[in-house]
Amino acid sequence: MSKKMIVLKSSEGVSFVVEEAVARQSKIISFLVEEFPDRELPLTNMTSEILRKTIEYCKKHVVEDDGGGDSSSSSSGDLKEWDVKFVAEIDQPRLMDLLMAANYLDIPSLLDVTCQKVADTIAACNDEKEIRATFNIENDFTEEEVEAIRMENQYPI
Amino acid sequence: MNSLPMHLLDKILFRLDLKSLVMMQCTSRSIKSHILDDPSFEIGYSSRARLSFIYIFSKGAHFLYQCESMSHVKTFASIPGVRSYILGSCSGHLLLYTSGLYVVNPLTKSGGNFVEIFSNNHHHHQFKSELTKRMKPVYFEGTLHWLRNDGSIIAFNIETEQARLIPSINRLTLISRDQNTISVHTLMGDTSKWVLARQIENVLITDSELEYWNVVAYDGKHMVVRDKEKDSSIGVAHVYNMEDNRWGAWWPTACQAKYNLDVFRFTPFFSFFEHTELVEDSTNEHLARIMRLIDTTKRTNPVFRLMALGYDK
Repeated sequence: MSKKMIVLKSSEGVSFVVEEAVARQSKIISFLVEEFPDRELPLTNMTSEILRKTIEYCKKHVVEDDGGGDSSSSSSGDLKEWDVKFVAEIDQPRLMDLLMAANYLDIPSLLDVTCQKVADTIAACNDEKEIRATFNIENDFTEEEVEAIRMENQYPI
Repeated sequence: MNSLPMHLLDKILFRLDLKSLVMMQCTSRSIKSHILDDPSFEIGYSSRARLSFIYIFSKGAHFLYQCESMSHVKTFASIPGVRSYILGSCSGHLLLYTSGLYVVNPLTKSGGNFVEIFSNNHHHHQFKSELTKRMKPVYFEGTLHWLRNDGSIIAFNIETEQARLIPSINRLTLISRDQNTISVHTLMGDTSKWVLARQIENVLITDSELEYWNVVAYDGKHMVVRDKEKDSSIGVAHVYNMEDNRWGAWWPTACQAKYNLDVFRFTPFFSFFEHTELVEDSTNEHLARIMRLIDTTKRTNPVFRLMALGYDK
C-alpha cells in the first residue's frame, strides 16, 4: 500500500507534497485533512522557506508505524541533538517566523524547541542593549528609567 | 519580539532565569508592564520556573551559591558578618539560620522570621538530648522536623506551635558505587531486608584516580554526587535525575573535601506571608543586620533584596 500524500501550498504558491503521517504532526493539518480530504491546503501566511523548514522538522519527528513496527525513526537522545542543531542553524528573524509557524500549525514539540532557543539566546545576552539589538526591540526607555529598574532588581552576578 | 502574541511571549519568558527576566524588563515599556503589571504572569512564571540547586558549606558560610544550569554557578546571596546555614527549602522558600531563624522567598523578596519559636519553645528543650547530633531540622509543609537517635521524628508546626512525635519509619537508603555502577539500596521496614531499588550506570568515572566521591544530597528524585580527581585542582558536583534517568547539571565546587556541602533543590515560587508586620526599627541587632542587608535604600551590599517582615508577636 502506498503512503497517502497531501499537498501544502506556501504563501508564494509553491506546492509541497508530503506524506500524510508527516503533516499530521500539525494538529491543524490533521483536522483539515479529515474535513477536506484530497484537497490542496493553502498556508497563506507561511513562506516557502519556513514551510520547508517545518516539513524538515516533521519528517525527522514522524513516528513510523507500518502496521507491525512501533519504532520511532530515531532514538530520543539523537532526536534532541538533532533538534539543537536544527534550531542553531536558523538565524534570529527566521527562528521567530518558525516559532510563529509552529504556533499557527499547532506543532507543540517544534514550538517547544523554538521557544527554548529564543530563551537561550536572551540568557546569553550580556545586557538589555544586546537583547534589543538581537530581537530588534525599539527602546522607549530613558537611561535613568533603565537604571531605576536595575536598582529595583539588584541581583548578585 | 514586539509583534509576538502574548501567550507566545510568555512561553519564552517563563523559561528565563531571574537575571534574564530583569534584563528583559529593561528592554521596552510594553515588555516591562507585561512582566510587572500582569498578575497572571507571576503565577505562570512561578509554576514553570526552572529548578535549580542552592548550596552552602555545612559549617556555615557568608555566601550561598546557586547552580542554575550546566556549570552555571553564581553567588545567590552574600551575608557579611554572620555565618549562615540553610536548614531547608520548600515551595520557593528558604529556611535560613543567621543568628535567628528566617524564612525568605528570594523571588518575591519577602520573608518572615522564626526567632520567637526558639526563645520559648519548651517542646524543643524537652527532647533536646535525644536529638541526633549533626543533623539539621528539615522544614516541610509548614513544619520543622528533627530526627531523633531512635529514628523517630519530632515535628513542630510553626502555625499552631504544636509538637508531635512521628514514630520511626525505618526507611534507610544506601548509595554505593563500584567502577561501573551506582547502586541504591533501600531497607524495607517490614522485612528488614535491603532491596536494590535502582542501579545507575556510572558514566562519570574516568580512569584517573579519585581523591573522593560522595553523595551530598538525595531526595528520591534527584541525587547529587560530588567527586574530585586526584590530579585535578577542583571538585565537581553532578546531579542525577532519578525520574529521567540521566545526569543533568554539574558545577565545579572549588573547595576541599573536608568541607561538607549542604545542597538544596530550589524552585522559585511567588507567594507571600500573611499576618506579618513590617518592622521599621528593630532593636534586635541581628535582625537589624538582616534588614540592612535587604534594604536597598541603604545599599551596604548589592545583594538580592530579601525583605524581612517582622515578628509575629
